[in-house]
Amino acid sequence: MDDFERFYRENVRLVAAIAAGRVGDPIQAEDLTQETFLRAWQHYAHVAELPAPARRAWLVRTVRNLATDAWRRRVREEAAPPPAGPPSEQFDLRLDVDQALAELPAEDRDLVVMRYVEGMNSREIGEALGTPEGTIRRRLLDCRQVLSARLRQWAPEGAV
Amino acid sequence: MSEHEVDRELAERLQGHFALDQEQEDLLWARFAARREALQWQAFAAALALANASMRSVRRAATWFTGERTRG
Repeated sequence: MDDFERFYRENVRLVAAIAAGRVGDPIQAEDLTQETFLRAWQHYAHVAELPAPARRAWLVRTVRNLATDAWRRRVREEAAPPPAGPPSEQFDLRLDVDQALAELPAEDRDLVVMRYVEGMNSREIGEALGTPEGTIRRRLLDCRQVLSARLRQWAPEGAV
Repeated sequence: MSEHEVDRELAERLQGHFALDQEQEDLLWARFAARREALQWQAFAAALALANASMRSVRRAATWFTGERTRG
């Protein structure tokens, strides 16, 4: 395994999760993930020199920028955004999670993914996003409130 | 439900939603490697085309120069 493959495998889960949180569609999410790492490979002489938290910050910044570009392209191409649709009782867990995340602003989705999928703490998230730790902690509290309300809906009757 | 329990439940659900297993990770890496290789070939082909075009320009210049010299 070469150095770049190690770098890819160490970070792909984070990048893929942020991409999926941003775009929802798995094919588009993979495309964003791979494009992020292609950029990293093209700039690897620079990226490899960075300390681990800065490398992660570089990847997070790149995947978010690419997601924003993709969203702008989609808005330009489509006359109107696809309708969000009312919540259905038939949604499975996957759609539940997608829908719960969709209630959060895009930037907060990144926080939630970093916190709950990657297990990063507020300091690490702050470093990756260039945001003060206290701000991250406050925003995570707000996200938790929104998501725990959802959690109550997911839980079986009387379990929460 | 305590804050800690909410956190644990959220982590469990979100990890279940987003997690990549080893097989998926391997597949992603393989697709990435293929895409990177295709890009490398594209870059190589573009460089080759550029080099060919440069060679043609050099040949044209050489022909012109030789013609001038012959005429001179």
